[in-house]
Amino acid sequence: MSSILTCNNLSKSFGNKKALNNINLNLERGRIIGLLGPNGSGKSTFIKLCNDLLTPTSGELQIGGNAPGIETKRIVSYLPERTYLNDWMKVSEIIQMFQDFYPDFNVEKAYDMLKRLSINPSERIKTLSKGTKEKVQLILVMSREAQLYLLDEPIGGVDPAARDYILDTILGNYQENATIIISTHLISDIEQILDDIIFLQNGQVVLTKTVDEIRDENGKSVDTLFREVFKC
Amino acid sequence: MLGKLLKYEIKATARLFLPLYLTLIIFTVINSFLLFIPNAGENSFSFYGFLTTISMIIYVTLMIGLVAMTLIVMIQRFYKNLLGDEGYLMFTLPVKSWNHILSKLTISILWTVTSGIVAFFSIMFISSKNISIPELLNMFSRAFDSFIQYFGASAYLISLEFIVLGLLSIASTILVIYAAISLGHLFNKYKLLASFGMYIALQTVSQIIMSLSAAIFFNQDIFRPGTPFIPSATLVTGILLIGILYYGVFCAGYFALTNYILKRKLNLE
Repeated sequence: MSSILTCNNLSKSFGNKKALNNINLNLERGRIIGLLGPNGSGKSTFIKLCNDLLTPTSGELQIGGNAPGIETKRIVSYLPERTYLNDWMKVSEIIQMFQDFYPDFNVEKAYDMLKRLSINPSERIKTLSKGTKEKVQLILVMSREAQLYLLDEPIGGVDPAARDYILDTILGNYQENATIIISTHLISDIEQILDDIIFLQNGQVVLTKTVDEIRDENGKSVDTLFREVFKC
Repeated sequence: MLGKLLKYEIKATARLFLPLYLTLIIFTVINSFLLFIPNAGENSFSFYGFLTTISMIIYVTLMIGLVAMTLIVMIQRFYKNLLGDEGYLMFTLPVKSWNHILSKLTISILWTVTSGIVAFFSIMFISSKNISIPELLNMFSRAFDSFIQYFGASAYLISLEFIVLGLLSIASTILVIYAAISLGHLFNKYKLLASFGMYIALQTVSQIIMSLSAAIFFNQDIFRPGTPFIPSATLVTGILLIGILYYGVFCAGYFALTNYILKRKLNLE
């Protein structure tokens, strides 16, 4: 099967600081991939590059055969680590907006998830709690039938009880053929759903493996391996 | 996609402007009503006089508010919606960056013009104690008639040029603000201060270019002192056209600069 994301010698610098240094990756369709690394390892920079929110300093990045741009934005569903909702809108209005701009947006799915999380669609976003806003955002992102989902710290801000629901939501709402990249440092929480892992450190890929390989070869959990690799 | 962006831009701004326009219209009516009533007594402090003063203060405040709001919303919609957290959504929509700039610019021009029209008619309405609005409109149409008589068929071209020039000068005022904010955003710290500095820098450069080109342009025989100045249709059309070109070039420059930064140098917090 063709790969969804490839990068060759991808680098990004901010002034003298190298945030990403010669990244080479080839990610396949239909996988759930953990992008793991300590704070400041370049996870968010990588995800922002994939979303055309940053321009690479050098190297090449392609998603579905295209460099980041309009074509890739149509097939990529992105959850940033912050709230990006226009707070003057009602929940139903932001859903309408997603429906307007993304042809792959599934409205029924969105309303269904809102109902299950008992979020009132006619409520103003301004009045929602921080956790609820994050849930709305996740619903918007997962209601798209995208080919690549880029989730930046999707469980960072919510309580452990909601984490399970969110992981279920992620699992239950993506096409078999789609790939999900989840960036986080809360590894033990998401370990059970991952197929592959990428370890990032100081802007470089230090390890890419499937979770099965890690268990077979190292006889360890991803969490344990992470603690070993990134031992301070 | 531009149409959809325009729709959301109008939605986001109309909720601020329409109530303000409505309040202004209500106070225009209240004020002109109060002004029409003959004063009860010049010397006595009356409840009526007190009411008139209060109503007038509110009216003037609303007028200032209208100007301030037009400017603040123009800046806010660009800064907050594109370069703030909301930018994460806006820039991941499948839309080209120049569409974002164009939609914000178009709606900003729309509100600037509307605010101008509302303010103009409001002032006319209040100050027209002796003239009625139809009379006033009639006056304008008569003025336009003599304008047509003077310039002949060129009058329509001149009017069109005036409108284009007006819109372009509004556009360049807005675009220089966008360009300054975008340049300021390239700084890691003190972005707002940097934007302000960039605005002054851009304005200074524009002023120098304008002075230089004006010095060259007006250094011609017909503008020499002593030459009788008769505004012929050709001359007026020509001068307006030069103005249009001048603002057109500035608009294009600021637009291109803003688009380059948003497309290639974007770095959201």
